[in-house]
Amino acid sequence: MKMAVIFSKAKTKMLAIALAVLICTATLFGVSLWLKDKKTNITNIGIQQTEIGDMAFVENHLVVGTSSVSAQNSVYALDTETGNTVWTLSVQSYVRKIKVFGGCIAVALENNSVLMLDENGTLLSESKFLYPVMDLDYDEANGVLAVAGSVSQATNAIFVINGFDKTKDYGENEYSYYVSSNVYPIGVAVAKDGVYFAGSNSKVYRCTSSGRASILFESRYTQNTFFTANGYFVLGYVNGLVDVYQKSESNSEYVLAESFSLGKKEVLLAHQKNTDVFCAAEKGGKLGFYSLKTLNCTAKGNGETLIIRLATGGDNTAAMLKNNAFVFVDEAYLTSSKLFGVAFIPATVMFALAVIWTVYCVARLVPKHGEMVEAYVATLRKDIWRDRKCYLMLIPAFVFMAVFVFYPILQGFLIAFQDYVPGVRAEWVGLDNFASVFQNNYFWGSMKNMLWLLVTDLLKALIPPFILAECIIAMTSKRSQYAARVLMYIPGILPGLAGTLIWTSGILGAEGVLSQLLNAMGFHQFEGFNWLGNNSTALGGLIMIGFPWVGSYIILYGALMSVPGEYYDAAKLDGFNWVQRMLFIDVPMIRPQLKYIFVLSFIGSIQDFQRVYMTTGGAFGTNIPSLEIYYNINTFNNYGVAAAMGVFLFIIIFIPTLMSMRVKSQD
Amino acid sequence: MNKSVKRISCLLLSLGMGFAVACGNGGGGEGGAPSGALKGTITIALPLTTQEEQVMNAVANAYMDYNPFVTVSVDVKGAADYKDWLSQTLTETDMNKVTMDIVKNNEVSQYYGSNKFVDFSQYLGETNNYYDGQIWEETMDGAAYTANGANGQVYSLNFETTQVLIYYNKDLLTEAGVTAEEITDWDKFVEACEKIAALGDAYTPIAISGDRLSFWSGQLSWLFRVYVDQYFRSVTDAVHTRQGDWNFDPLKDADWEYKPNASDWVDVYSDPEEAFYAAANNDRNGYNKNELRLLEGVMTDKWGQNDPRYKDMLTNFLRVFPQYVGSGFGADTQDTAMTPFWNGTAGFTIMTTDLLNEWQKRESTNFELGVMDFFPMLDNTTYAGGTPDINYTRSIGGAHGYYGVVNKNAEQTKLCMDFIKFWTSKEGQEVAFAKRKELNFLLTGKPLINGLDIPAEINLLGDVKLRGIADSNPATYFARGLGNEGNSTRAFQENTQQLFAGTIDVETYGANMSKAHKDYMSFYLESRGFRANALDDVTRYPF
Repeated sequence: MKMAVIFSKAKTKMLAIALAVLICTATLFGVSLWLKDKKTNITNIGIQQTEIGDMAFVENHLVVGTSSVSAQNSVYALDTETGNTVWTLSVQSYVRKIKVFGGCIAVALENNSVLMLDENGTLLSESKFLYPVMDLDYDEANGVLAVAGSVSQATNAIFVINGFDKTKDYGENEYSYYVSSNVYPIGVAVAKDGVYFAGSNSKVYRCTSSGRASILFESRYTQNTFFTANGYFVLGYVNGLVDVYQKSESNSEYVLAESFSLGKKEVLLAHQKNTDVFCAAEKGGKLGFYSLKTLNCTAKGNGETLIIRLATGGDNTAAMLKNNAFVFVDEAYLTSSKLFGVAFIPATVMFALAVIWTVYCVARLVPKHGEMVEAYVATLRKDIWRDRKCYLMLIPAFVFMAVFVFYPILQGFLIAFQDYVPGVRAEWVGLDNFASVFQNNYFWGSMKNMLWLLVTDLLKALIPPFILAECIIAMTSKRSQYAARVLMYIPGILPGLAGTLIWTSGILGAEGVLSQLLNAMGFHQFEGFNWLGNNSTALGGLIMIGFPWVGSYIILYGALMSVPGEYYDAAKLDGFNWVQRMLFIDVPMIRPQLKYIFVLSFIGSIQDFQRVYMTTGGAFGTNIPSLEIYYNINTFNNYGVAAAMGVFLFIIIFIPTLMSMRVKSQD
Repeated sequence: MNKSVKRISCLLLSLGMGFAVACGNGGGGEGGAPSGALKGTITIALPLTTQEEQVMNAVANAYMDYNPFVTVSVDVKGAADYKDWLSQTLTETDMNKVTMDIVKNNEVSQYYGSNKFVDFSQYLGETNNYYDGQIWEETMDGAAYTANGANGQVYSLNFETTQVLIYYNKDLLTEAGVTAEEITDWDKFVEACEKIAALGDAYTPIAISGDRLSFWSGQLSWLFRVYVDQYFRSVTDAVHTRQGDWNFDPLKDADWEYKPNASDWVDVYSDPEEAFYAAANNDRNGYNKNELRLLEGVMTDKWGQNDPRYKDMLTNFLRVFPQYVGSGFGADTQDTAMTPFWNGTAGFTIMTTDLLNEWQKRESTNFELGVMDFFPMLDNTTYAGGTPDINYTRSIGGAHGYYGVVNKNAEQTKLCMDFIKFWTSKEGQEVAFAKRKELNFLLTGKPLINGLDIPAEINLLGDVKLRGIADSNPATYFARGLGNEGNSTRAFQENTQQLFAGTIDVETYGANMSKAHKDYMSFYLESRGFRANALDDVTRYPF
């Protein structure tokens, strides 16, 4: 009794410790989650418009331009504190670009226009350009407006207006000069010493008033975005890198001053004129603030950035657009996001372990059951320790399986939920791929063919080999047995693909043996008949391939050889004939082998697409789901949909396999 | 030149195909090659035949003579699994880790627009120092750098040419009482097929494959594109970009006029032949198309397989298919389907000019080969409104090569561009010609490089002038599936196979295909990088 009380106290003490640990880890876990969404001075503004053209900050307002087909497009300003709309201006076309220059807002529309607004949304002027405007820059102090226009990747121009008056309308031919270019301008910039643009190649150009573009310098990768400030050229590439170029003091050439990586996708940049801060992000990924003075990162964190803009004055506030909501971030947000990234996984693991431990401690205190739990855990621990060498030796196998088997399966499963193009993108799309599979008539329509082939494949794999094996066993002459075995094994040496090709053209083709034989027998309607090129016979032709389906007779022959002769003697005494002996003695005795062949044939039949691919290509009503998966990967490039189809097939294969395993374990 | 080739040459000339390729002006003299300060390695990974490999190596060696610090290696890949190999290699996230630099990229178009390949359009304005310092794009015919990205990007350079032609067995035609000159239209062609079929069961009027590949990118694909162009030529005008459209170029599109008939050009060209070629090539230059207008027309059944013109075309096809094609049609591969032609028991076949090289290799082939252009179809009056838009056919084929550069980094791109500039220079081409001459390896068409002097020994086709390009008609986008979109192309293949097998009729075919195009439009828009709602306003920038 005393021992029980002491024991109970020890248990209670351990539970108390477990609870304490649980509380600590839960707190840590909660803090890590809290860090994820900790946004300082943030207003989340949900918006109704489905498509945003662009946005920009003006003082404490966020100016948004819409680019919607279904609604009247407009430019409107939102209060960043309250989210209220401050002013709205309807526009006649889709908004492509919004830029803020001092107190004026420039709005580029798709109808080749540039609107100049004051900070209250009052229209000051509307200018027309020859090409749709992709980007623009305005040096208000010197009155220079530069506009990058583009019809297509190879038809572009930079239009420059010197002495630009923001209150005056300009016609499409009223520019000071323009530079025609094959190179697509990813951005244009007006600096004190000239007008520059960066191409979607790897070059930065300087525009000259004679209408020519000269190469200022060449960068390292394909450029995606750029700006120039304080003598620096900041270039964002398509591969997630950002380079900062600076003029060399020695020879006046531009040299690489700093470089950093944000990830692997396209870079987005944001900068406000006359500030030393800029913001850089990987599209859909990380985001950071950088100083143009030190070329250092001041804050960096996770985000799902689609558009970024810096607030006026460069007070480190950027806006990201995600799921049609504006999210304002600053350095504090990024710091907390970074901490979340560091803390989340260890906190989750510790919390999970603490939960398990606590559950165990609680379970130990439950009367009667507690002892059972304790005994179970103790036995498990003892077993593991006793067989520790086996466990250790199994570890490498499991590690390799995890890497080469389980990981690809898991990856395939995840791809089923993604819009996936290898090496390009992997974006989560929820159940869209499964919805596509449900709507895919080819996939479900081909199920019928799969079932036909499956049933016949199973019959072909089990019955003819069994009968042949029995026939060989029944032979009294050992030499004849040997000869029959060898002759029947020869087709198995032939590579499967070669066999299929022989059947395709040599036997079932228009000039094949079957048609010729039938023609010779007087069935002239089959002359030149292609059995695999006709809707009514193609599936039957596929089933015929491999006739007489000797298949895995050697396994069954081996199994039959091991059936004890006493059973046959007993059967003879009981008056069994040959068929009865096969059914009531041989079949039960070789059941494991039959089951093995059944499972392999079942999986093989469902997975095998080569037979159909090499013969009919799925035409003439012979498509099957595995071929549909192949086409979705190799022809349609629908990797996600193919993976979702794979999940369905996995379920189809897995259920009978599981049932088979269960039957086996019962045996 | 061997005997059989001489016979082909005579025929070509006798058929009056000796016109000059409509390339630009000449390029001037030699000189101006760079000094060779470049360093690095270029790996060309292409599916080449043995002869092509030798030609490629000759060009690479000549380039390395100029640039001793550059190594150009030719890595020959198997044609059959080239697409799979390339697709697999392109899954690498960091392209600097892959070895290949120059590849054939037309079959991996899913990677266009993903920065895996360099956009040539951004480099064509540079000078080519291997070709007298001329602007690079001015040294080539425009067809060499046709945009294949949705916004005018050029991911492949195609400076070689081929042409799909109709080949015939002159001896067999004579035996059947047919002369090639008689076959001036589809009706006459059907008559010729009847006569060949009447010779006996051993003879096949047309050796053509009807397997999957034939519909997707082979013989039947060519046939459909040629005749869709004839029936739907006016689509070029309907989808011509207009003022207010997202890709309207006032300097280019404002003056373009739809003038598809020779009669439209008689005031410009007094020579009827010149006027004809001007009409046939009316849409090759000075013309931007708004692809969204084309797709909108497909969605609203303004044109497509449900159109009486398409149905009229199908009715003409059904006079030939399946009765005059080989018994294995539907399942036979192109090689198998061609067997009767090589054996001398088939009257006609359709093939690229590569057939001429194949012909050279087959010394045992013992019939006289003839070549002709596609003949026009006539309105068979089955469907009201089913009259073809024009009364002639245009060429199919044209530019090919599909050489793309893997986008690694600026330095490597510069190196690759330098090599390709050499390859496309007069000198680079002359090196290739010399090697071809040595190997007796014929050109399948005149390269699209200006100012070349092609040795007669390898220039079997002479100065054949392209009768326009059928594929420059946007209507060919719906000739089969929607462009190369997989699902709709498969629907085209299956429905056409059923139509030819008599399982469905033309009306059902039209309805099925119209539905398929609508069902799979979203896939097509995505494959082009267009917004899902791009068709809501076709004037709008669709990216």
